[in-house]
Amino acid sequence: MTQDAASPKVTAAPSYPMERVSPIDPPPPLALLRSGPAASRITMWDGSPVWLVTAHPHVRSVLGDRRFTAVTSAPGFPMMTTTSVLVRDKPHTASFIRMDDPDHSRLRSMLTRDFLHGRAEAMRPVLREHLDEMLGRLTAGERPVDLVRGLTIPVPSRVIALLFGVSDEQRELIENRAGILIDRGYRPEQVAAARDELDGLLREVVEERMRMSEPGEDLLSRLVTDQVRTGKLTVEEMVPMCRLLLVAGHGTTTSQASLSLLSLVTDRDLADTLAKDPELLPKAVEELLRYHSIVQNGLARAALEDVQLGDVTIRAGEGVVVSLSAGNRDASVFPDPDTLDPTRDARRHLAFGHGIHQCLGQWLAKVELEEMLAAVLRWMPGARLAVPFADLDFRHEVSSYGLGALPVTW
Amino acid sequence: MNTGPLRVSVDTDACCAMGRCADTEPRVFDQDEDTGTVVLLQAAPPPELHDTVRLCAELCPCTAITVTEE
Repeated sequence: MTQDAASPKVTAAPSYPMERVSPIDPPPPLALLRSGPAASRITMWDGSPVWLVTAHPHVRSVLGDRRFTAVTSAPGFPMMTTTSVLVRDKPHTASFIRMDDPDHSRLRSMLTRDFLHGRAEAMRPVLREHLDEMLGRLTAGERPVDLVRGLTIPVPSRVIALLFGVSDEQRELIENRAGILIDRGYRPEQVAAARDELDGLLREVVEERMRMSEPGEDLLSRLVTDQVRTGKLTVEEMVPMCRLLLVAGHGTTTSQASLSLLSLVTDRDLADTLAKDPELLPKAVEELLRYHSIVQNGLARAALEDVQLGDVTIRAGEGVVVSLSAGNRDASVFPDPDTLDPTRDARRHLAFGHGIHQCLGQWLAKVELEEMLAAVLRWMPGARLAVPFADLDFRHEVSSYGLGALPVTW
Repeated sequence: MNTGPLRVSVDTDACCAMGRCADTEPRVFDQDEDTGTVVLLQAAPPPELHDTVRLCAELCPCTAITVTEE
């Protein structure tokens, strides 16, 4: 970063999202903004002016403050993607991640027990079996192997199928539509169509459960039995809830896993450290979450009243974007932040957000990530990149930044 | 570093059952097995646990943990 602090690029409300220079590091202007006022003016892709918050303590404080709403149709709310525009225009289709309390907590609490730490741990043995079977097949075939198609897409996908109890055919249809919702490469009408189709498919799955006299043990069956049939949840509320679990749980895990595995196959020190000391895996996964921060454009909020954030007053009705990746590279919390260090205590990272909307699936995600890394270390010792680094397909247009493919050999 | 007495309190209504505290300092925090809601095991933990208890308060996404130091 060589730009000086007086650069007009920064004072003239830079456009957002910003472009990366290195595929692994956040866009360089973020570091400069982080050393400035608590919030800086930016211009969103749709032309609207909003505040950008980049320092760790301020990101944390915005996300933990209920004076900032998560309701997309609120005045001034920043439109992150085409999907945000759809939600703003059809507020009744919003999932609870786009709600404030008490609506948010009424719906989220119906899912809490399915995502408790203990429940995620209980999935570990089943997951390990699946992984051994997948990697047994992958390593028996030709090299190189694409770890995205072979591992980081199918693993979260199987986990969701296990949770939801859906068929492979349903799962494939559902995931294809879900992927379009977080990809900025699609046109607005394509995103709208995919969202409607996805909701239609999910409604079918829910109605299937409704027709069963004795639904199964999966999460959807339990929601139907405990919540829908008792009148606490409507089908109209359950469909967006299922959509949220899919969109938030699948693409994000795939992206974070693809970048974590990229680090594993390109950073010899990391691979050696973890091969020697597998007990470090949980710590390394926290650090990889911090370092890669795949929710690359951050999270959007709008102020419901005037809020003093450090040295900046954010007025009621103004939009705020918090940059999780900038907060996670804040040297005041993580010394030498641009270095990936699997032995560092990275637990303060913001990769899962903060506040009442903090990722519900975080334990499950961490179990999946730990197990995927462990499986690659077990089955492909010494795995390395099979193409030049410069040829890798980084998915800049997708809300959860990741790789389109990760060809490796060993 | 403050080495005076430290008191912990939890707000079970604010708790969102994420379980960061029970994972970080299981000697002070536990979770209800069914609902995941925080269970406080000791309100005046010994000095050697103060650092991790402060970290728990910081990690709690829903600000359900309050640490008071004299």
